[in-house]
Amino acid sequence: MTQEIQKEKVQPRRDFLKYLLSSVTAGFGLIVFYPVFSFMKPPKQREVEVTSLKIGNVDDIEIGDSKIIRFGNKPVIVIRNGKEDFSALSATCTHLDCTVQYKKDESVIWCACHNGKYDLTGRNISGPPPRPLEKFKADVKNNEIIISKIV
Amino acid sequence: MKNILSKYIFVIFCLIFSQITNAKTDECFNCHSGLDDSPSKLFKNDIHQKVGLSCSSCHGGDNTSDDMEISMDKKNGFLGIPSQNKISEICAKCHSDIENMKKYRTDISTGQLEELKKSVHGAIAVDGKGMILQCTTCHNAHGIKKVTDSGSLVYPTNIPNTCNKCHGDINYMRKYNPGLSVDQLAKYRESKHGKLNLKGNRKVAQCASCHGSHAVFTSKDVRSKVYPLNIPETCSTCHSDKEYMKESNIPTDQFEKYKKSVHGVALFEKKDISAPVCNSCHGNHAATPPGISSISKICGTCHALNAELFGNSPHKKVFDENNYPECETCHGNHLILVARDQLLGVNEGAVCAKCHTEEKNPKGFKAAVKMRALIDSLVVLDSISRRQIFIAEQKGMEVEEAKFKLRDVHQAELEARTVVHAFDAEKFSEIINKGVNASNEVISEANSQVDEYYFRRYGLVVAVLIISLLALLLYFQIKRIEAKQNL
Repeated sequence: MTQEIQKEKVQPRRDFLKYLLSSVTAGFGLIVFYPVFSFMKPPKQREVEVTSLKIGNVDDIEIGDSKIIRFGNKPVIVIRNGKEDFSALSATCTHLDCTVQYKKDESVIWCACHNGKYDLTGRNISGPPPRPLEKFKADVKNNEIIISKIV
Repeated sequence: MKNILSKYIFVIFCLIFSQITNAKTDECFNCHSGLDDSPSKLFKNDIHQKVGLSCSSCHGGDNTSDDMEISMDKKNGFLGIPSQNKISEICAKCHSDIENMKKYRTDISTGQLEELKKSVHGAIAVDGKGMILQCTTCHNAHGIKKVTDSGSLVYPTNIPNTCNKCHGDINYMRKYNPGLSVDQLAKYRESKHGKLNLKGNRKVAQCASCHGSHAVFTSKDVRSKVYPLNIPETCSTCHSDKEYMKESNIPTDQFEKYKKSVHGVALFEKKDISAPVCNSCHGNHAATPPGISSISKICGTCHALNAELFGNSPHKKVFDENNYPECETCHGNHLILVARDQLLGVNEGAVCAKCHTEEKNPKGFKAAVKMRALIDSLVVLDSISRRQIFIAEQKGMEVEEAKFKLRDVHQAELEARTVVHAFDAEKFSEIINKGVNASNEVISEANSQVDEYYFRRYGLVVAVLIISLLALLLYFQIKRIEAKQNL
């Protein structure tokens, strides 16, 4: 009789322990697998130290047109001069770090902040910029434009 | 007594006689005067003749003999007409000798030839035979006068024409510097300096005042008095001298003001030779203060976009009508300080309220208040963005994306400070809004990184609790299994 009463009392406690153990084991699984899945998801930003970058197909930029791309943490202006002739320069004005743009009608790279101008080789030709723009290498391989740092 | 007197008379007689005989012993001059040739005519009034030098001092030979064979004999050191560098060397024989020159003047300079040799004029001439210039090119060979004599070729009012003999000759100058303009004299005559110089004012600047006399260098030579870094001091030699400038009735504090200005700091502290110096605004040979209406054009040679925006702004017309000097009205002239946002608006230190008072011009007053509030709000947002990025970065989070976006905020600030010259509140707001939006994105990105940091931190606490609880429960489970086995 006493054994039966004891069994009745122990049974719900054992069930509770069982449920709790299952729940905590599930929680443990979550804390193990969450970082694993998070790691597998690519981060929002690209790598900071980039030495070379594929920026798309040749046809993405019209002849005589330009595109500003993000190269690591810096903007780079890519200008298509001819069929497979591309030039790439840092898009950061050497005066006060504004982002420059390509002015097709004047054939110059222009900074809207203080009217600084560079020729298409990046040489500062007018206005306040004290230095030329940094040059990058622009190659075409398998119809893809590859921008890389000049070492 | 009689004896003593006769002795004195004899001595005086001897002295007079010796002077007469000495004068008569310059046989070169006697003979050439008789020929009435140009050198001897000029030499009559030459400073060297007055101090007792003879033709033979420069040409050699024996000036005591009236026999040409003897006086012009090479054995007697006769040189004939010296040519090329020999000319300057003969002059330097005396003029570079301190002891010798002290006889005439104690403060006389003796380094002229050395200075000439180092100067641009001391370079080898196109014929390869000697220096481009010899002493005689500027001072003449015969008939040389004191520099203080108005007849001297190097007297201040004569210097422009003396220099122009070569510098105004296109055929001569193209042999040495084809790029150098040959109209400096014409320009100079249009300048304040040139006009006064022509009237006989010997105090105003002429060629040698700015370029030097013997040590003349090209403007690209750091030793030159007209090298950009040296120009302000060269001009201030006269223009900061109150005593020297007292007749001109113009201020003498320009140099002191310029040194403190943004341009002066760029030049003297940063050694930026592209910074404007005196002649960038006033001109050099045609130096004159710029007219009121042309100020924005002059400032606009460097500040092109600002000048263009101002030219198309409603202020242009009003400034012209009221004869307000354009850029100068807000920025000043010699003491141009860094244009900070405080210049905008109606508060202390702002310039808009000078004309746009609340009573007389409420529209302009309100626009100024609004524009100032807009730029201030962007500046505040910029600093918040930077602070949030800093906080996230300090927590070890990746903020490169936010940093990249921050460029747009910076750009909007700079563009707004340029566009302000259009005095168009709408255009100004557009740019500010671009910056505000970019700033909000930066703050949101940085904040999400800070949130991510706390999520990871609290997640770690939760994970530790779960692991501990699991361990505890496993312990109880094991105990239960053991108890079951014992039954």
